[in-house]
Amino acid sequence: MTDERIINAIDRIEPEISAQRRMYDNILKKAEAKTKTVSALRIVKPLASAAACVCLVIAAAMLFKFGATDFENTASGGADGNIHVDAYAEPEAAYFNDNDAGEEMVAINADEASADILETEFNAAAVTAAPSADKSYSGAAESVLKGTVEDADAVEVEGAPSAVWAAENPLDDDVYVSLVLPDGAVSPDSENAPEASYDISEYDLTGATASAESIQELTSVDFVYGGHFYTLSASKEEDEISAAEGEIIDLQEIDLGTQAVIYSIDGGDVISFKALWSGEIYYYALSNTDGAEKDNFIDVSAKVIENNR
Amino acid sequence: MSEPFVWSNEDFEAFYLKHFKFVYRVCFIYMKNSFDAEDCTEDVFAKVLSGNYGFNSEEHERKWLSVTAMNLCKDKLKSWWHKKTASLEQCEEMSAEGGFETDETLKEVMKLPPKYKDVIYLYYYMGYKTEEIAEILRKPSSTVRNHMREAREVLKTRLGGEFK
Repeated sequence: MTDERIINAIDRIEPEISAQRRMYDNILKKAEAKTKTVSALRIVKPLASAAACVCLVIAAAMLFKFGATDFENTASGGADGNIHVDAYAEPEAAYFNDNDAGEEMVAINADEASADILETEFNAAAVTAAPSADKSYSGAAESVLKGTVEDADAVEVEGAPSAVWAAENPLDDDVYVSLVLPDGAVSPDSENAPEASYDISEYDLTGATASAESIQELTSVDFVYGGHFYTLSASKEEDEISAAEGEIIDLQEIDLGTQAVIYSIDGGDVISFKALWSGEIYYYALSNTDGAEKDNFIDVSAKVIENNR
Repeated sequence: MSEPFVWSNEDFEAFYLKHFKFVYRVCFIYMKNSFDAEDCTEDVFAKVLSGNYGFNSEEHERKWLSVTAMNLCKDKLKSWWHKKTASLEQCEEMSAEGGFETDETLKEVMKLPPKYKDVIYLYYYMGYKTEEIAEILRKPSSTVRNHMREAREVLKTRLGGEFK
């Protein structure tokens, strides 16, 4: 029976005869070493806990000194006491809470808000890492693209002014993932750019990153590289990133640091490839279904994995 | 986990002799060579001894040892992948010293990525059901089923036959 094959195969594994005694002696040494380490930690831990308590007291005192601020969904508090409207969160409305006015919250649509309100309350210094209310990323150090190729509000991106990406997923929380594309990646909008005769420089995504606004669901970005289409996806849920839409023909591990595996999948007319790996927070997938060579796919995967882990 | 207690020398040695081959086999599947398998096996038992872990039953012992061995091996693989690797050819040489033969089935199981080894080992060798495996690995049942399906597909392609 096939089940027995695996049991019998594993049962055949035997340590060396001399290993039995050798391992036991090493176990005793390792256990003794662990016990000594634990004893030392018993002295250090209470001291560390006391230090942590002191830090918390100091932090609480500083907060009390500067005053409580409103941390509603789209507002971030600042040390200077102003309410900073985080426009990057892009809600339907930003909430302006004047603590002096009392309990009532006044909803303000960021687009309709008068300039004087935004000017007086908006501290640009606190949000230099995020785009301003007009959605331009002029302060960003890197090009930042969002989501997929779906049409949506145009987003000006420094470094790739013609590329337009839309956030695919609604905002559940302000958790962002950056899907970093390899040098030479091109927007699919360029219509098989490597083969085109027109100037494709404006579609060049070299060095660009794609940011997804919500990683609770699957988020993906399409790009063209070396004449083939690829889709890079990420999700916090492993179930969202499944191995195959088809029969797995073969698989190959390429990076145990991320447990990256390349799958060869029977896609009918062509063999598709999919690379799956796990980063510190997210699960990633890179797929190609238009007949790229396996070696080329592995090269692209290695580049993508290096920057997304 | 039952209340901690202090292992006597005799009890621990008996415990070790009862389970060391079992733990070694788990470690060998992941580490693919006898040197690292021994190292991981030692770490598993050292953890039992230094942590004064006690167990309710033999089933509890095997389950705890399996999962601890799997986790330790995967942690080690992640930490030194770039420093050192062992090819399957090296495994065959090393395993020959240990006096056992790596047949095709074992080779293919050892080639599987860790996430597939987990489910194959727990399902076929330990006899756990999908729901139990999901609880052990702390993953959704659907994920475990996906991994099982994919692992079976690969083994079927490489070895032939059906894996149910």
